[in-house]
Amino acid sequence: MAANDDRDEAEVARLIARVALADRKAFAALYQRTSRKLFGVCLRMLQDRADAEEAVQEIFIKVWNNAGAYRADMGRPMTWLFAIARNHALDMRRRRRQASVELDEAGEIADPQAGPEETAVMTSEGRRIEDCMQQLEKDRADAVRSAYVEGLSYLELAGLHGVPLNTMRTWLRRSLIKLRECMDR
Amino acid sequence: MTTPENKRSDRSRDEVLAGEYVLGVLPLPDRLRVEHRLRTDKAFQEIVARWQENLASFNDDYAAEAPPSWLYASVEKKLFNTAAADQPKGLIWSSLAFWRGLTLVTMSAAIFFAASAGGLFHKPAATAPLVATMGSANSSISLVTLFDRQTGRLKVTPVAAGAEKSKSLELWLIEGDSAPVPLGVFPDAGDGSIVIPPDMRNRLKDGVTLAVSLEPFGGSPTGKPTGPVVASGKIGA
Repeated sequence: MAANDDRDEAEVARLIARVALADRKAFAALYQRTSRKLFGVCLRMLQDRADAEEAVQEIFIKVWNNAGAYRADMGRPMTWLFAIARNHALDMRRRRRQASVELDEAGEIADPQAGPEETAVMTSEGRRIEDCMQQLEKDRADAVRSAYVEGLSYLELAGLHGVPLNTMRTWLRRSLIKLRECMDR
Repeated sequence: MTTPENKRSDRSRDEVLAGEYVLGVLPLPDRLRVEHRLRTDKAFQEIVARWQENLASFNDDYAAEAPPSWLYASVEKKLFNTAAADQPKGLIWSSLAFWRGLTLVTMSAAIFFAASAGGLFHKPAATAPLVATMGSANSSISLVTLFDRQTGRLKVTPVAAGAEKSKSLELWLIEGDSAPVPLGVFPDAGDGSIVIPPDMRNRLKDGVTLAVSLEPFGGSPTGKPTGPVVASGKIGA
């Protein structure tokens, strides 16, 4: 499986490099290969088929326009494509919500000094995220995962878990610090 | 101001902010601020890229589903039926038009020896510079390569305009059927010259192929060409 994935990633990387040179055939091949996954992202995050169809078109337009910015040393090509798709869907989600909600929610920028666990040491060896997730309390791990997969905001997560907004913010920030420490270990 | 403790605290704060950004929990104004910063802050880009890679296994939670069949045609229409955007003219190394003008086929190469003043048309002395023109069949663009054995300096000059931001051009040596050997990465500005490593200089001779590939900024991360070959030519062909 891993070998297949690697080959798949290598082919996606090759296609992206050719799209950077305005190769339309490569673009079509890239679409063939990746549009099902990226459409899946949009459906899940936007929960609306028409929005997802619009989003996936805009995502591929971004891929065409930004293929030259892909750098292999900054991560795998599928990760890059997923990031484009998720970021686009997130922006759409956030934009279609009401401004009043955004104001409530616009919090102060993270201040991890509040937590004692802030000795993030950079190492090149990372541990598997799934192992590290198991070290979080279950409701916090669930919050982290649904934030990522569904694109839920702090406010939505707070409502879902029945905790105050600030509590949710603290949960996730501390969880991120723990995950970073765990993966750096 | 920049005590180690402050630095560590900034670093930690950035780790959390990048993690929040990648998770997607930030409200829109904060997301936009982060994206603005990402445009210029290389170190922060790396922190974000690392989180993206760390959390990438969550992407398996997305169930793949085929988009409707009309959708691709609609993307193409939006991209290619509109008037071509004006490409900013800039340095050859950073103009998109250059790359888009090159085809990916291997090009015919015209090689000749440029002799020094007295030696025109004579078999070149060992110290005469080697000159190769690397071009593409369907393009008016070519690269003139000049290698000076004495200084080990190899200079590539694009002879018609064009290139792409955040990409680098990397020069490769191909001997027979062997795997390409990297000779160096062209700086994205300047006169297009690079110094060939001393131990490689004797390997630039008749019959070997020079190729230039498009690589991520800074050159291939793997030591082998990862991007398309945009030009290649044989010395002495």
